[in-house]
Amino acid sequence: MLIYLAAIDSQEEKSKFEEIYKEYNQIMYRAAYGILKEKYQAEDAVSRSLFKIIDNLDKIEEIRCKKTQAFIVTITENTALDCYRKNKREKTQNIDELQVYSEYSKLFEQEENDVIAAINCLPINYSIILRLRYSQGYSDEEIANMLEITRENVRTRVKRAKRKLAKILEERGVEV
Amino acid sequence: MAKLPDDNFLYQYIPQAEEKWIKTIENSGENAHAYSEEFQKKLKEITKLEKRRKNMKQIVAVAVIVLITFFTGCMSIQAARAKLFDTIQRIYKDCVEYIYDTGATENMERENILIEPDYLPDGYQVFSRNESMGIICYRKDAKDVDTEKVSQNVLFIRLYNKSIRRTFL
Repeated sequence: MLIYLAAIDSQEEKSKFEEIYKEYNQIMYRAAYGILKEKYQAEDAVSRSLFKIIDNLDKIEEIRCKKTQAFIVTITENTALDCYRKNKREKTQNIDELQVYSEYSKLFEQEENDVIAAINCLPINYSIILRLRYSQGYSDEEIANMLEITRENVRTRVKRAKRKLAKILEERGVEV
Repeated sequence: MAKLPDDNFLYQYIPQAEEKWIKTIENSGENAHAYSEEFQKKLKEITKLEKRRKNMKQIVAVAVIVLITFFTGCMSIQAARAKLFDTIQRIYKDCVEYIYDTGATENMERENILIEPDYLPDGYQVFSRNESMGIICYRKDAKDVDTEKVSQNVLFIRLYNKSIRRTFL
């Protein structure tokens, strides 16, 4: 009985991973490419992200929904950012001070809504942390586990992201 | 210095910004990306690894359930518990009792071999030895002995805050 149940569960989990890949492999590639701007590096980031997705399969309840899509894009962008740092040999540089932008940020310079433009023009490391916390609703501990950083780092990065956002909003003449 | 956006502001705007961000990424490429052969190979490895990890999880889960069931069964049956550990320790209010099972049965000819402990707390000495019963009593002070009672296979010696070590063979 137990073995039978185990087999059913295993099949379900297997198809879950395969479905996630089928559903999101294109957006994952584009998200990674937006940061790395090189085909093979982007593919490498996608394959690394798949390992992280396997580790976080239990967090994915429904495959085809906005929350899952946002989560997968965020994980991929964070992995791409790690690859970027490794490729640029910027390991020693503090990621909180790293100013890496996705190429999609440029597309928001002409955005009508100044607040949305400001948020999407943030460096990608700040944008990731704010989305995980304020849109996807993860706790600091969950974010720390996902990004493989400490909770203290999460709090520091959120603080810096807010400062940067405040500066962009001020430049755009938006009052908060 | 610019005023920092508060949590209410961020909870209001970040989800909207994220939705637009993802739509922008989704609509960015005209053609679907064709992954390289190298990536396809990696993907096969990842899928295999994922399958192995899932299977391993299931195996571990089943093994844990089997072990828990086995130990629960053993612990709830005194005979099985004694067989498993060869020793039973019982802590009473005023004494500690150790029982050793050597596997001897009723029909077997019994030979009493007194097993002496390797360690005794300070001050404890042999109080009495009964080789035919297979009993050694240790005590700290002879005056503390209150009663002594022997029945079938059970020896009960009442000591105040003292230990008794007992062997059945």
